[in-house]
Amino acid sequence: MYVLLLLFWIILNGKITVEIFAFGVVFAAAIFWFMCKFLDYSPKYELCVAKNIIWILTYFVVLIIEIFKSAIAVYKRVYSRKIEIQPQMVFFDVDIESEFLRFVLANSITLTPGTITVDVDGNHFCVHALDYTLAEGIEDSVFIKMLKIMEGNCCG
Amino acid sequence: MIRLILSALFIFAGVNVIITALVGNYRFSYVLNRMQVGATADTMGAILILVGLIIKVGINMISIKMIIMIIFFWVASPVCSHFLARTEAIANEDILDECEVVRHDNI
Amino acid sequence: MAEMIYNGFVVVMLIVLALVVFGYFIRTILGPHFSDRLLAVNSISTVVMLFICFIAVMQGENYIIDIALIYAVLGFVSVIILCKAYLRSHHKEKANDLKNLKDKVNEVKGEAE
Repeated sequence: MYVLLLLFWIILNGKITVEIFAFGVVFAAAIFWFMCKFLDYSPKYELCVAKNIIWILTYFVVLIIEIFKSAIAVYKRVYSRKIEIQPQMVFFDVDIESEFLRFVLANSITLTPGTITVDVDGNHFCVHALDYTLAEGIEDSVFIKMLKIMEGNCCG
Repeated sequence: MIRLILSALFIFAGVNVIITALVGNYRFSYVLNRMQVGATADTMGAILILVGLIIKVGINMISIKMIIMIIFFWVASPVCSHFLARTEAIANEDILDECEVVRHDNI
Repeated sequence: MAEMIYNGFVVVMLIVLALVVFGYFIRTILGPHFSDRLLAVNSISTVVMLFICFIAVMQGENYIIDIALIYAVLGFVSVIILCKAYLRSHHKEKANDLKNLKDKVNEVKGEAE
């Protein structure tokens, strides 16, 4: 994380000189301390990421494939006059403990065209779908299975 | 040469996505349905266009900053549309006329 | 030669994007609800940000991308602040969750049964 912050600083500056590098080291350290102190971040998450790296990459690939699949489904509904849409709002529960992973799940549901997370209240999700076919099987989608595996890896 | 054609293809696809979002914006009659296509434009359209531009410029500082922008969009734009949807769901009294509600949870 | 055709293509795409911004602008004026307008504003900020990216690549300047980044952050923050302010000022009594909607759903279900 520290390295990422330093890299971010250098990229924003646009070039590498000794001065910029020295300031970057100081500022990145300050922000890293701030994150540990106030934002509940700790270096053990990095271990978690390192353990799950294969699953995270697979997750991204699956996410992109899902986005393209449902984008095509949405575009059919936009351009054809015959299909009548039936919007639907689904409430469902998810048994994922970690706050961050729930955030990732809500984000990926919203990133997929056709579904939007309206509300997250603890374990209860509320999802709005453009059509009822797009909301089918959302309670046990691929994302949830993969996130559960990641969580299991982390705690174990 | 091939790089230019590839980049043009990506940009064309992205602009198409954004036009589709506009068409959907006028075709659907309710906000939450419009939001679906709008969110698509935010994520897919922006990312396709940025990837096209990255292919055009090659790897230098501009493209690295664009990659940062793509990451920012993937994190921020869902949050944005989530907030809009929640505002609508809280504020609208007659939301049940617009969409049917299904509950799979047990409260 | 190829470079020139590409530049012409980019200009055409910029004109199309400008028309899209105009379409969203009409939606901002028409929008029956508050959230309609906000959605249009959000989309406009995205498209304008893409504009700035195009310009940065055409000029080959480094710092214009920073402007686009800041524009994206500002659009994001402004939409969220406006949403919060709207909920605070118009729907103070409804708390901050979907309790309202859930109650309504339960009512409808009870009637059906």
